[in-house]
Amino acid sequence: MANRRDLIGGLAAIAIGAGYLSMALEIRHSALDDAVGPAGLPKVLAFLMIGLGAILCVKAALAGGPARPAGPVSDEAATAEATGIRFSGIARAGGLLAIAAAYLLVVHPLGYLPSIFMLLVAASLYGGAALTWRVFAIGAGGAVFYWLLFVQLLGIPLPPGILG
Amino acid sequence: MKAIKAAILAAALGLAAQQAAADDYPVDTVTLVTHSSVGGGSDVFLRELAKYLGPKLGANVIVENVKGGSGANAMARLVASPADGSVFYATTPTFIYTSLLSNPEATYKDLEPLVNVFSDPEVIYTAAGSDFKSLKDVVAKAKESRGTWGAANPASLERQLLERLKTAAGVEAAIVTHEGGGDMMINVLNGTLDIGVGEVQELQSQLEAKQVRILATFTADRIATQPDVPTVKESGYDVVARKFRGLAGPKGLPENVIAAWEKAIPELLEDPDYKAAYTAANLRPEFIPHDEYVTFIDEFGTDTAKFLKDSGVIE
Amino acid sequence: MAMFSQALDVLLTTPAVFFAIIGVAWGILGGALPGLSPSITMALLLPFTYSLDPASAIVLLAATYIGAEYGGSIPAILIRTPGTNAAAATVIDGFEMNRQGKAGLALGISLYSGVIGSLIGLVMLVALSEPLSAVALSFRPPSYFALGILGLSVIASLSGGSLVKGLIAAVLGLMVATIGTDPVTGGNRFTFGTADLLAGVEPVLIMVGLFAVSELFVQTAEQGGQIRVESRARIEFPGIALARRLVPAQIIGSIIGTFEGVMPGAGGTVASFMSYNEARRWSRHKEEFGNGSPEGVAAPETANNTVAATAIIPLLSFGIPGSNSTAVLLGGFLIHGITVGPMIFVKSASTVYGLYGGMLVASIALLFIGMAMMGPCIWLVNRPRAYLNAFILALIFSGVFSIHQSLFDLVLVLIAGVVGFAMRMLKFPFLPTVLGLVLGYLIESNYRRSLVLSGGDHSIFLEDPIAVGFLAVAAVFVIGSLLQPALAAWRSRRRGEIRDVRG
Repeated sequence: MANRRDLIGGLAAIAIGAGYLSMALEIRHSALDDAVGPAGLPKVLAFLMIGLGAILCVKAALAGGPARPAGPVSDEAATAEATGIRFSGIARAGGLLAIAAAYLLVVHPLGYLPSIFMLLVAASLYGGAALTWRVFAIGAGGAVFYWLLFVQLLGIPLPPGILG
Repeated sequence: MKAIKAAILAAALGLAAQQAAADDYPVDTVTLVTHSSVGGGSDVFLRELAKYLGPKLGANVIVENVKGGSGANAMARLVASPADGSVFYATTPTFIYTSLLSNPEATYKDLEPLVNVFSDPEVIYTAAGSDFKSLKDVVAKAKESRGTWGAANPASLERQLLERLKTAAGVEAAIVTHEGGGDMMINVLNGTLDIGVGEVQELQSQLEAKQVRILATFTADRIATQPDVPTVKESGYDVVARKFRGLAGPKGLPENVIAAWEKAIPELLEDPDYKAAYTAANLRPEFIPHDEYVTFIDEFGTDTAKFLKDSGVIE
Repeated sequence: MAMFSQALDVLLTTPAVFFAIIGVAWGILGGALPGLSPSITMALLLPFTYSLDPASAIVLLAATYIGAEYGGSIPAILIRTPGTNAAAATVIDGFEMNRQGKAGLALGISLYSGVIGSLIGLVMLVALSEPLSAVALSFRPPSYFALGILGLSVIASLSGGSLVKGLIAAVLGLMVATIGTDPVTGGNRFTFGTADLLAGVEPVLIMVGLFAVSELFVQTAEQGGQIRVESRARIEFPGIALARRLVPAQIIGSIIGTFEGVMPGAGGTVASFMSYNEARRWSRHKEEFGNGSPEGVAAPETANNTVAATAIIPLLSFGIPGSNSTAVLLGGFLIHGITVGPMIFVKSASTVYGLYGGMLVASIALLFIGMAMMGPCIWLVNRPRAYLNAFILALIFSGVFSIHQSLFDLVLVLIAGVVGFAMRMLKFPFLPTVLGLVLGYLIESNYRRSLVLSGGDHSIFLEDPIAVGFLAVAAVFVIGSLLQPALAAWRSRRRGEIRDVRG
């Protein structure tokens, strides 16, 4: 359903363009401004985005059937074409996003080592690894490995948390 | 950064033996925070300072780089730190510009200036092959056609100086901003710009190679290394600036901490080894004691805020 | 000759050779970790250079730069994530080759192209420093603006099926590039009141999000749906026939890399995209590009390693760091009290020649260290998918955190990941977004600077011969790629007619 996909894409572009435009109009003028001004390019970009979005919508509405890509097919197109991810897939991806977001919440209070261990275990299980001792062993090994690599070898001050 | 801290700590520990006697500074380790990245201008200055400061102050001195937000993150780090003399921030005009321009949670007003250590002379320079022999020539050109003057960064002290010069000279020159001094240097060298404004130590190599010429300085008096170059004020335009390099701490610094620094910094600036190091780097010592420095920073902030408000950059 | 004897002297009397090798190994590691850019990898070493002699310190940093530019291609090929910005173009064909089970070959091509690029760049640095620095000096703001536009003209051929979608993606990238401090007034734009956005959005965050995080989302969404290809855990170098085929791509890469490296602000990312595009234009196997073309790996990887050497030219000639990486290198010089600029060849000649010698050692070491590190890398990506993805996610989060030690950056990466996922669902290409993001600031700031210089008169762009040249070439590219489908259709119709006649 290439045309519906393009319609959504076009509408999204229009929405992004409009939102960006409303912010661009808020940019302050100042006496240090040049002829173009800080809002000059943003306004052009906003109208371009809206215009391009509209073209995409019109094309999608006119096309009707699945559009055939002309010219060389990029790998992005190929992936999406081959998979045809459905709504349940999007929900599954959302789960991974939730795991990632949870890491952001716990990394400061708990510290890097325990948080990265939990991230590894949760993401592995979510990705389909069987729930056995192996998951935890690999998670612990990985967490220690990353900790050695980033904190000890590279000297990056990742949050120490409860262990620090 | 931990590795950096470790390295500096190791260097500082070597000095620990000498300092044991004079030890009445309230904390063992002093952290100097900079928003400059490792190897950047402020960072090198600070590391050099840290090397010599330890014994004078009677404490280990380490440097910490808190990057991001043009100093906003470093200021936030300072405000959250105890006011016991253990943490200071290396200040340059950037911290005032960031405070005013971006309204971060912690601004320069939330910090207490400690003392000033150096000032970088800001100078006007032009390509060696250009026709400009003096600042008057530059202004004359700007009067008859259109002058092109370069500032290293948008909304910086350099830009402010040029805007003030423009007003003082009553000319309409195009002030072109860049992404740092190097970017601007190319445009001065290839003649795109009539003049550029920068710090002497940024021009060092080009000066030695006789690729650029200094026309005037924004300092109050002529600078020692360039005795023949007049100040902008001597040239007839009343624009003077001090690009300061000093330290600031959290609000409410104890008296004994302030006293220790007021004693240590002048001593440090007289230290022959350190003097050789900073003279080579073209830094000019300018110690300003605590009380005076507080007023100085306050005035600098007020002036800058007025400039930015008058030109409409901020509300 | 004095130069060679001085270089040799430095190599023999200091531990510079040792540090060249250490630097390369460290650089490959840092470059291969997504989020750790070459400049961060180098900056992490700076504290250790305090205790070294100047030549060893500079060699260590320069060798790290060389290693990191190559290292970036490893995750680009193996996990579809550019380890460095300049490896973004390598993702296109490199990952495609991996998908076809040719990961070892792709890595081999990338490695040997990187070595060739480093060596050519080094020759340029040593032999042509002076004329090339004259080129850099002749670039004025209008020329830089035109250079940026030339870079954007590549979009047409990165857009895949739909040009409209490619343009939307590019505009999105340009929009992200406007976030931060205004280049002329210094006021804030689109920062939503947070100080974290003042300095703009680091392109690497968006790249990691768009490529890597969105890939994880897609794989999660289609769990078990895709057949996996086992990459052979061996590095393969191309045979003679293939090596010969790669020569034009490598020549293109090194020429573009040389010039982009010399120009402050242009950099490796633009060089690799442009050489990818040019390699395709001049290739006899155009149809393979995007479908696993070995030339599509060779061209950008030659280019970004050439940049790693020629970017040093403006640093040494003017004391001007044109990129973050050369800024760290400048820091290395400053730490040892060496003023970089025109006088360096007079005052610190032995350090400079030692640097040249060390870079030669590093370029050769790159070949061997690269080979040794490749086997383990390939083994790693052949682990079970569930574990692999979890480890990639953890790696991204750790690597990105190292940039500013900021959780905000991780949030940006996740947002970019969600946007990337949506773009893939809706079949938008995201390479134009990356290009727009990288070029946006260059184009806008120089456009406005030009107009400030001219007092608002657009004729300044026509008075600058370099700008006119670039804009003309860009126009030819754009018109050419717009006409190409029509031309191809016309040709195939003619072929059809001929066949009809014959039949």
